Amino acid sequence: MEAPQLQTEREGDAGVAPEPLLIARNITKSFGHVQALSNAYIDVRAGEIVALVGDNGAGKSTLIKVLSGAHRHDAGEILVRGQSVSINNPNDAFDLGIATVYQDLALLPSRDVVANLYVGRELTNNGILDRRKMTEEANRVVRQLRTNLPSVHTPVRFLSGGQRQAVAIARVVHFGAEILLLDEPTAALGVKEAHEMLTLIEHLKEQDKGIIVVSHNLAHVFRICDRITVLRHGQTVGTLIKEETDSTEVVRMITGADLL
Amino acid sequence: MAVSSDKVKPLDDKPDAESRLRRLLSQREVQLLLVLVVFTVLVRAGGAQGFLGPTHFPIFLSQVAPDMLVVIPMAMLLIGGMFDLSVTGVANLSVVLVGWTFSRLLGTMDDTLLIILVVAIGLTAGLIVGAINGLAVTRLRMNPLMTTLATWWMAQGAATGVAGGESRHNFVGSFRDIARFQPLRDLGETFPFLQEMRISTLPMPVFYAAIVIFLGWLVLNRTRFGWHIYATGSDRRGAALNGVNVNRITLIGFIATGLAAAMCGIVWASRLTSAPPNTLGGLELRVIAAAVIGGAALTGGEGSVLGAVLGLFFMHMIRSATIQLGLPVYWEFFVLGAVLFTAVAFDAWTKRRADTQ
Ligand SMILES: Nc1ncnc2c1ncn2[C@@H]1O[C@H](COP(=O)(O)OP(=O)(O)O)[C@@H](O)[C@H]1O
Ligand SMILES: [Mg+2]
Repeated sequence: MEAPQLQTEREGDAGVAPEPLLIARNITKSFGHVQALSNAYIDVRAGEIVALVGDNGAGKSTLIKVLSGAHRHDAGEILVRGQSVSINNPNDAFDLGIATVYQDLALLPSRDVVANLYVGRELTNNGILDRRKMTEEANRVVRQLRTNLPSVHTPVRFLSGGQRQAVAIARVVHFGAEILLLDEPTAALGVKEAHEMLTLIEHLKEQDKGIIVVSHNLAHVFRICDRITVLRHGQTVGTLIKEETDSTEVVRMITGADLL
Repeated sequence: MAVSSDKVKPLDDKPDAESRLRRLLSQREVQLLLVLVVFTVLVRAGGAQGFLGPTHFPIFLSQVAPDMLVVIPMAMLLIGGMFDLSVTGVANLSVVLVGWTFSRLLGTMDDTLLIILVVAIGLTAGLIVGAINGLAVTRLRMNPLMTTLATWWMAQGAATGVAGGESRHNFVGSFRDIARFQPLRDLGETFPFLQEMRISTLPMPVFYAAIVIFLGWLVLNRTRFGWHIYATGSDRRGAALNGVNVNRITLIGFIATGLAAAMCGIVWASRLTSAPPNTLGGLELRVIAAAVIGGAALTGGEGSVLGAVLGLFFMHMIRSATIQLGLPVYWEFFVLGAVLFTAVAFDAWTKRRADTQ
């Protein structure tokens, strides 16, 4: 792999858009005969929300999983903060500050909020779990995200869909993730909860996170995002700036109507 | 969520007395403890005045102890979303290997060395079967029910095969101490109350069980490994995505259960100084049922060490009560089955109620 060109004179370039936190280009991934991604491209900057849209089976979830280390891509390049990186497992992604909230959340239903926040990264003191510290921190994080939960000792299976989403997001934010990948964060939510979730995502943008959101709901996309990347049959067909487009154009690109 | 901060209810660090009582009573361990107390009172009122009294209790403890060695790792395996039917076969295999090794090597070496060798061979059998179970389930993705049913039969078959129809009785005398030694006996002479309460007569297996219970509790509640067991059982894929090594958890769980079953066999061989291949019967059902009665979910993610301990107490209390009340022993299994049925039905009911709330 060739060495990436590092941009070293950022300070002098006042007014120029900052270098992307994350760039993924020419990403290819197949599952046996199924070519899930063939030439996918996406990038995101700090303090930016990029929507990733496309039809069912376009490869959105697969691209997210490649970036989060759940799948290995067959070919292509991923740059994080200008450096070429290889992401082979979820821990690699974590070390790079990339965190994912999956469509199905990957929460532990029988465990409480504390255990869910810390799963895989439990705090210990001489090998013994530091439960008090974890509980205190969990309370702090939950308050910070202005999330309303009955108690951090409630098993997640008793929480509503929106509360679960918030726990999943609190988990990744708490561990210092700067790049957030959200797969269909509003799909399972009611109208009110979905809007609360969008507010939470905007709140994360203000904290300078770089956020990629997969969504089917163009109204949600247009409410929160800065740019829209369209994926079709595993290829990125283009990226649109929100102010320069509208939903009919996005739909045409998703379905490929222009090409027919 | 994300409502304005004045509307956010404070997290209930200090719940009021009533909700605290309700939460306490909703815990399986507390419910089970109440059931055990009521059961004891009823059995005593029913004519068995000595039930769990000062004479009966130490004997009761030493009867429960060998099963206790197995129920703890079995509960941990269940919490991690797995289970192991092979424990009876493993325990019997370990019994037979103990007898066989003694019969071959008695007199050829120092007695203490021979005992150490015998114990090591018994435990190795448990280690091997546990590792086979664990590797089959994690690496080959074999179904745990069928895998451990198969290894149960193989272990049991190997036990009868090695025994070859002979019963072995030529043990090193001091091998009995593994099950019979009473470590507090001398202390009882200095402190008469220990003798009065018969604590000084408690044999070694009670102390093995106490150590296993303590270790199980410590690992499950106070270490990352324990939380990873819960995580693995709660959602295997979700745990893995968060960096939990789920296959390692499962493999270690099966190995620990195999070792415990082998230890249970060694204790029985020592207790009986005899090594027939059918020494243990129904161990797997007893310990799985006990863990489930104690709140372990067959679907994983839930359960506790205390619950498993109380569940096993209950199983053995039913056995003792049947005998002490002079009821026909043949009905014992009916009662055990009915208790298990009730526990599972109760679980299903509380889950249904929670889901519709
Ligand atoms: N683990 C997998 N094994 C085999 N095929 C898969 C797997 N994951 C996704 N696919 C296939 O890859 C394609 C893209 O799927 P996905 O990324 O889930 O699409 P989207 O999220 O855009 O709906 C689909 O054809 C899907 O069937
Ligand atoms: Mg998808």
